[in-house]
Amino acid sequence: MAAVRKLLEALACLFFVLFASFLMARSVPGGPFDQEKAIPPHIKKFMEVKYGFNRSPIQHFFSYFNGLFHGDLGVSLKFTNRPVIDIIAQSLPSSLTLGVSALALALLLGFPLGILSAWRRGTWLDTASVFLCVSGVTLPTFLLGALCVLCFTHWLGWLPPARLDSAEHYIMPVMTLAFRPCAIIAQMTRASLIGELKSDYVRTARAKGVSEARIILLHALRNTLVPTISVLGPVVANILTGSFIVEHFFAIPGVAKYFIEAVTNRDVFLIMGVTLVFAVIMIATSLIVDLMYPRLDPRMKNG
Amino acid sequence: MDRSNSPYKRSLRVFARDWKNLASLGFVLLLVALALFSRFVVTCDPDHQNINKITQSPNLQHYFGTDSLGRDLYSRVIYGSRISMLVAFITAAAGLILGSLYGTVAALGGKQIDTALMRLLDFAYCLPTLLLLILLNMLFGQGLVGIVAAISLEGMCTVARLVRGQVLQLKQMDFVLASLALGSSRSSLFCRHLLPNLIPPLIVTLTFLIPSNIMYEAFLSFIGLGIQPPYSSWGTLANEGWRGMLSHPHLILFPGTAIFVTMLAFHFLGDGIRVAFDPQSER
Amino acid sequence: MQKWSYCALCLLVFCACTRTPKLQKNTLRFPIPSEPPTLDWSLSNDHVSQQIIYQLQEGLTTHDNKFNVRGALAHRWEISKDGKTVTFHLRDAKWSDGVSVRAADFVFSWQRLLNPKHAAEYAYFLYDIENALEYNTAKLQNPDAVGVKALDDKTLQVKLKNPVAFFPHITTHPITFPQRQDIVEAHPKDFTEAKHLRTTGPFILSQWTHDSKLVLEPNPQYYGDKPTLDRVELLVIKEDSTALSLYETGHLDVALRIPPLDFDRVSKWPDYRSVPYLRGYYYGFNITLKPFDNIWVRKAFAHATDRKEIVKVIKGQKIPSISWVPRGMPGHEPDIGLTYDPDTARSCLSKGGYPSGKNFPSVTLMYDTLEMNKMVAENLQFQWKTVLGIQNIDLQPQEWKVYLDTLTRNPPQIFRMGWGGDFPDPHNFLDLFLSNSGNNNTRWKNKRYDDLILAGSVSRNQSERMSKYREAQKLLLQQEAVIIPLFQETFEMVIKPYVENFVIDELEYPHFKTTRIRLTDKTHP
Repeated sequence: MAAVRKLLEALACLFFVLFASFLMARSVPGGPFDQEKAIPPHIKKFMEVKYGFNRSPIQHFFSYFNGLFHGDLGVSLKFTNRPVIDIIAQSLPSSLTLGVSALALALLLGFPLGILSAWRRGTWLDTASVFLCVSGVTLPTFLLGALCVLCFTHWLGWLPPARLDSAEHYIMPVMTLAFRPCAIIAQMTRASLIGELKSDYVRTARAKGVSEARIILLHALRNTLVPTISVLGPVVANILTGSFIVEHFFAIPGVAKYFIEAVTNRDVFLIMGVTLVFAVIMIATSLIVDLMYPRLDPRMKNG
Repeated sequence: MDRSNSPYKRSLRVFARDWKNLASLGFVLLLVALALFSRFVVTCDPDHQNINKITQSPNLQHYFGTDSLGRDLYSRVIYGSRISMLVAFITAAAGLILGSLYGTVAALGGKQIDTALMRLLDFAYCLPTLLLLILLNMLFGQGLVGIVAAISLEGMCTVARLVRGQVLQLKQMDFVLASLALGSSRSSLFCRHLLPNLIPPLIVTLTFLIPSNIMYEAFLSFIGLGIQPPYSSWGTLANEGWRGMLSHPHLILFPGTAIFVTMLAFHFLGDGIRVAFDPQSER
Repeated sequence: MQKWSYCALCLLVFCACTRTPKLQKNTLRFPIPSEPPTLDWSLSNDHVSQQIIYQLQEGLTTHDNKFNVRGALAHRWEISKDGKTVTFHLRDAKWSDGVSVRAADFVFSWQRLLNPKHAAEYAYFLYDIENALEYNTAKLQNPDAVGVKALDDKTLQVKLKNPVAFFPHITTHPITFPQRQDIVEAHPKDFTEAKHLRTTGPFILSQWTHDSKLVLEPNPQYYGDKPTLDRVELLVIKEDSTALSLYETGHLDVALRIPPLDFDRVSKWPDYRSVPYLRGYYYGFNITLKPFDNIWVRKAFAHATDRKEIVKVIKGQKIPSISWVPRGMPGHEPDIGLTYDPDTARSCLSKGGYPSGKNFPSVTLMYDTLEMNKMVAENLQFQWKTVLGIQNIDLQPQEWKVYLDTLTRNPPQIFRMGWGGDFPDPHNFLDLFLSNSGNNNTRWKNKRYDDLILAGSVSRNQSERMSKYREAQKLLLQQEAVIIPLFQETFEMVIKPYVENFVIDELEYPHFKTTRIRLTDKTHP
């Protein structure tokens, strides 16, 4: 029952997001058909009629929304008449590949790093990892990208600077994208594991002579999963934002860079298409986190 | 128990115990001083162009080198701190005040208002941040106003949620219930009892809002939608530098380092303050 | 921890071993700044699309390298005595699937272009044809009333409203290229995809990975000389600095636009070249606003503008210019305009009522947010401050579309704009400032100017045309000083030494047809 309610809420949320973005996208000054060489007024009028821009934004939104129900996301105005759904279908795979590999890398590195640093708390290892995490959180993605390109392409000459033509092209974008989420995950894991290690049951176990590794791996780790999963929402959001910079930086044909391209072109239906994709990912993530929570933490069931 | 039982004194003591906190506080104060008194620190007019000195590498006369129009990069970075800081502080303050109002109204305004306001906030949370920033920025026109409005709104959502939670929690406390029972009005309740208790978490939030707002501003400016001339912030400098990165790495390295070090200082400061206000931090 | 560092090491070693990109023989790798908005030439309106269409398709006529009109799909044409009927005779050419090119393909294409349902932006290109305007504005419903007819499979007859001296120039433009009715109607949504697109030009589109890459291969059915390249890869790279970086690491063979900041380093390479094209960059005044309603103030600003310094600031070998019609076009008059002269500038300003800039009102200068525009604006602000003593020029950048909106609704006192040529005739640059032109943001309305331009466009005597245009330019730039032309743009590019015969012409079209790659030398830096 709770799940159904959450789902309904998520759908309402989605509707609101679409409505608000549509109104904003339509009210930004400058139109999709303005360009350096002014179009004769009567031709411009034909274009506006063809794509519904002669209607009020609210009417326009509902005709768009009606189209959505029939699986029609509209056509791009800049990429003349190309269906938005095609554009998304074509560009989403590269974004997903990048995003998912970055998420996987962040989990694979961040989790062990957090554990290691909690385990060896106070040693140079911990200090190094804390410093790494802090720089991960404070270093803006665009700086990291710039540093990577400078270092690995132009000084060392190891990696190609842009595009996704072969496997090695993925290394830099994925690293850039994964750094921040990795730091967030490691920080969270470290903090909650340290908290766990202070708790009574761990003290009891220690007193009984259970080895530290056993305590961490068998007992404490399970409980640290909960707070770590709770940061998954922000982490995914982070990857989405980061993917915009990374796609722009490394000339990657993904969907995130359309955020800005579509807005600068006033390509309203494309803006909506990309917003839809991102909102669905965001809402789905928070839904999944919400639903997973009680399963992992019995205390949450009643609260 | 300590004899000085004022929570602020206690927090101050906890804060002062860690040298990292003091160092970062010192650095942040230094930054603020630099921003306020940039005129006395710079070596020359940051807008003075010298066509014969284009893109020089760092040297004794120009500590950070010169940019594409022959302007002194050191002076520009110092002046850039003004805009970066200004935007960060204004947006953080605006976000804080608006968010607190929103959150308090939601918490104290009764169930229906609360539900409505919180639903709205939930919805706003689902809007992709990036889209919101870009669109708002364009709607308000690309000046300082647009950026400030966009970033403040973003901060407001976070603060509103937090304040509402805090107020709801406080509402259940004995001393609040007692004062309500004694018939004090809502406004006096708010001023006398809630506000003083809200201040510590708000200070903590502020120290996290400022760096994240610096980051947003740098990000917007970096993608070319942020601060525009005659103003320039670290983000715009980094954007300019990125385009010439291959030939003149100093153009991105100096503004980039400025952003990074500032973020680092605010991060440690925020962390220190959070620990200091945490009642469990003192054994 | 050790395991991880080991893995990372392996990864790096792997990269180090595989970093040389695999090369295909005889392939040219060329950057394009965006995904082509469309390859439907009737609807295309931008240079990226048209640059590609130009490789794939030909029209009735084309230009030689001196901008003389030459036959392409039409091998000859006749113009009737009254100048109102043009008859084109098509050669024996085939589409890439072996079907012959027919006159009906042109009729279909032009009727489609003019069909108001398609809302094609460039439809006005054909307005000189009888009934074209009427059909395009839906005053006439019947497409066959438009003055274009296929007399037989190989003869196309065009009836014009009034004699137009440059009509065969118009048919060189991609917007007028023929379309295949059967293909367009069979795949209305995606006939421009590689699997459907049929073309008659030197290349065919063999692959289009949207947003990433287009691959061109020689067209076996092409009637002319076959291209020597086996393959052209057009790679979508938005940022010029990224393109340069790819070029330097051997992933590209050409980079067309060197970022200003890299210029000093790159211009020393033997790969560097600067090629001008027909595109002017100017600052305009809104002459209805104070203080620029005063001719002397406008003249003072024009005289106080040192174009050489601007070009030095933005780098490259862009051609500083006081005149408006660009070099390489007939009607180019390098001496018409106001030269840099600080003393005259100051005396003009005094005559305008502001001796040494005193009491000069606050003025807004707008430009669109692009690095180069910003540099020019900041530099000009500085120049005018130094020469004229004017302190309060407010720079206001706006995002491109907002900017266009502002320019049409409420142009600021000073604004920047550019103009690129569609066809090489001065008319193409001068009709911009006609009183009723949609592109005239200066709000300058001058009857004499309008008359001169009209007289120039209908006259069939070339030297008489040029003298009219000369007079018009004097009026625009010297007597009225409505705009300050700054410079003519160039491609600042680098080309690998093994790429030979690469030409990019003044209309911004690259010629891949003649480009060759010296195979033995295709090594890596």
